[in-house]
Amino acid sequence: MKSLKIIGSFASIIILSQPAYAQQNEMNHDGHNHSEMKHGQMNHDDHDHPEMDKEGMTDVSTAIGGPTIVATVNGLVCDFCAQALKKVFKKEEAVKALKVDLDAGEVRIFLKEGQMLSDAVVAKLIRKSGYSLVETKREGGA
Amino acid sequence: MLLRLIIALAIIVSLSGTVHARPVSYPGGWTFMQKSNGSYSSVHAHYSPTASDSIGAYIERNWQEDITFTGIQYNRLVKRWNGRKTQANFYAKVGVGQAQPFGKNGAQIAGFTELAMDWETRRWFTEYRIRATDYADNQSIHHSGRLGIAPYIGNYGDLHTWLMVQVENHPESNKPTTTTPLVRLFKGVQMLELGYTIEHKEWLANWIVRF
Repeated sequence: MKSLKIIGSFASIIILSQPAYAQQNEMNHDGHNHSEMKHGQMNHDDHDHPEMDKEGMTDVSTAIGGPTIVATVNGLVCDFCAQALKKVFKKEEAVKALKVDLDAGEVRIFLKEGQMLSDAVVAKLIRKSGYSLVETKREGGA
Repeated sequence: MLLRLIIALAIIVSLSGTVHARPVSYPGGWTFMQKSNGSYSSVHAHYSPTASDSIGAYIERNWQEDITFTGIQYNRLVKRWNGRKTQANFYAKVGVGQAQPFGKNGAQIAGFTELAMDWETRRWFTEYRIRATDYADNQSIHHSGRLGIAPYIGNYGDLHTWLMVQVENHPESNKPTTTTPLVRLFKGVQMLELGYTIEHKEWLANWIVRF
């Protein structure tokens, strides 16, 4: 019975992990906005660059220099926190890309040109993700 | 055979991407949890309409009590404390459904409730749970605690590794207190835990994926 339990457990893990892996690959390769990619950026290196967005938003590297909000956030202790923020912020029309720095406890919100995001909205979206905003700084005319 | 399976699993996890064992996801997120140890094997799939709630299906084959529980489970993040470099959570969970003894007819209404608290940094993890079950005339309460340390601090997107010790107490068991050293690996949206319960000489294997 012991062996059966163990083998059954592992088998279910292996079987169920297949679609998850397929989905992840799909996100890696199709989730990017290709029209805003610079030539040569969309290659297999994206597996090794945490800056490369995997949540369907624009590549962070193409957004640097534009209007940016730097939000200091409490409670950022793991990758899942970053993913929750990305999932919530990607639904916001004004947001072009997002970069989470767990070491600094900061979230860099890159805005589309001409778009605005008030501090109140930033605080609301961070709260909706399950975390709390400490302060914001604005760069590049955000 | 077992070693090959473990290696295969490690490869799959390293190739695929990961999560935390939190019972509530981000708004609109789905989570699949599979747990197996010497006491029970379970599957829990849930949907989080908000960052504080999740609801889904829960199925458990309990080897100690010889029953299969099938029901719905609701998880509530009662309170989260977000610190500058820390996070603490207090969860409440409740499940209702039916319990059917192995190889017998006559399912009965059954249920469980659980309270869980955790505190973590990027280096340390602690957790305490208390769970009460009422499965087809079998009532029990058990406690469990965990202490974990990350041997290195990975960047976002890296494979994260935790070394943990889980201590459980089942007062009605002939070996009431058990110790399970385990390793937790997580990357991206998936988390895998592999451990070994010393007293029962049983393996632990938990897997969680969010999408």
